[in-house]
Amino acid sequence: MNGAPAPYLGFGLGLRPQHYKEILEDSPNIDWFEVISENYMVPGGNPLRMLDCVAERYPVVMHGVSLSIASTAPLDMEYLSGLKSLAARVNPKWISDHLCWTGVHGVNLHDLLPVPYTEEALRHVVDRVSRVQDFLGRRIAIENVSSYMEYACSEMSEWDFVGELARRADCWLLLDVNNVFVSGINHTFVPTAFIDAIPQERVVQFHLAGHSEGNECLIDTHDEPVCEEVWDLYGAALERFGPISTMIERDDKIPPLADLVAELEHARAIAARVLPQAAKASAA
Amino acid sequence: MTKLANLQSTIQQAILGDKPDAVKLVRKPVKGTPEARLDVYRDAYGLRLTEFIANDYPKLKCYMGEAKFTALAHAYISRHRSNDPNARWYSRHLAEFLRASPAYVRKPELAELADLERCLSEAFDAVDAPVTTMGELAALEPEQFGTVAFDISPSVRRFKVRTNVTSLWSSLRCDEHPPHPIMLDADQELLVWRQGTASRFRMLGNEEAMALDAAREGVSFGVICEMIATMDDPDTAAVRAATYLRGWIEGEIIAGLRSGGNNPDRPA
Repeated sequence: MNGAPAPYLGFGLGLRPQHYKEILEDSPNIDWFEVISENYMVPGGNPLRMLDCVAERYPVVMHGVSLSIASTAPLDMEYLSGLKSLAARVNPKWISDHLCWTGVHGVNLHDLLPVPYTEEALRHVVDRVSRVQDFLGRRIAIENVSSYMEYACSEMSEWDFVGELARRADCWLLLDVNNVFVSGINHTFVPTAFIDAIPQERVVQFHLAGHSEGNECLIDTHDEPVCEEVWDLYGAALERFGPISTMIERDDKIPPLADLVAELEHARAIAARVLPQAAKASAA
Repeated sequence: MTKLANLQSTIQQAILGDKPDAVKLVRKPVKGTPEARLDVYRDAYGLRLTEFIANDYPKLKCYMGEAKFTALAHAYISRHRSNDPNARWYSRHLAEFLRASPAYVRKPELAELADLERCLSEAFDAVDAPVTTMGELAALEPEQFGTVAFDISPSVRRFKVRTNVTSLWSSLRCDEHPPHPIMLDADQELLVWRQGTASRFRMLGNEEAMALDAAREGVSFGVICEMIATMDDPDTAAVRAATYLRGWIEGEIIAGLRSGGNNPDRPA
């Protein structure tokens, strides 16, 4: 698929209603925002009004949770039309969603269910990503999810599946560093093995987030600050991929904006340490 | 059915509650069991949908209390599967569910509180529309007043209540102990709409409710005045109609003026 390369945006946050006022009045040190697409796929009112205001001042990317790219149910063209309309309004730098399925037979489980890493599933997802990109007229970025189970039928590693998907579908990747860590603990693989296997030229964005401990595995809850191990992995990811647009996700127990800005400063500091040249270029 | 379709169908069944076939699809983890790993997804399904419902009906949750509200959510979840990619629509049948469920049918204030919260939520992000001003109304020629009709804001919702649900809602909003639920002597007309960026509601008298409903149907102002004249003192009908209209415009309920109305047969 033709198209311009993804721009480097710097350090961003997820846009949350609790922070609208402060963002618009105080212009805090945040380079860009990621918005949950579905939260703004509404008829009108204040959410869209706020989004318009933010999009006038900051670069925005759209991040969805309902594309269900790996589902064997037909693509939801009504959803895709809504996504395309929102993109026409917001002019996002890119659109992303997850490597997962959310339901079949007309049911939506509202969860990011993992894919079996088989050749059959890979062909299926490649076909659907290509069709979505054709419909939207742009590349999309696909994100690796946190998972709590592996399928017995999987024939390859998650990282081989993700890399091959990006190559065959000619799509971008959103590398969620926390998800790599969570899945690594849950399925006992070395997180850096995942990162080292992902094709460098495909990654356009990093996600950072917190997680919590479940009974026998880590759960991707986005309700805590980023932990030390994930910061370390972020450093490793920067070393491999270079300057990549980075954002912190927080979806529950949402703290004051200043706390998230401070957390973002930590990401900037790591990037400045790992990539001093890139940090200077960004500051200039 | 392909292997992938089969797998997804079986895993979905497991998450919805029936999992024997699904366990063999899950690789044995180093820590724990395949059953426990599947349970992470099954438990998350119930928790997530319960959270959606709680987010949509905060006053109802406060009124019922955590335990009873959670029981209601579980009952709703067992009856309703989500079929929309957008979670905000999942709980839209809650008021109907409350009305139809034997466990709640003797507490009509619950369904009415759900109705009110749902309407406020729908008004909040209803389609945007222009706001007609008093200046635009004043610019009409005197002879146009009889034939002018109104575009009503798409945020407007209208319904009747039989209980003191508005008092319950207002108390809950102020974190006060709500009054006992009571049945009203007569049905009460309610109006829900968006003014600026905020959802609002207010009670309507029968006459204003009739006038607003007629305006929504495109009936011209002249005919609305005639209809009002049949409800009470005909000599003050025009003044009463003008008062209602002023309130609608100041409340941002009128989204446009147009000439000619979709008038019913005039009263004899």
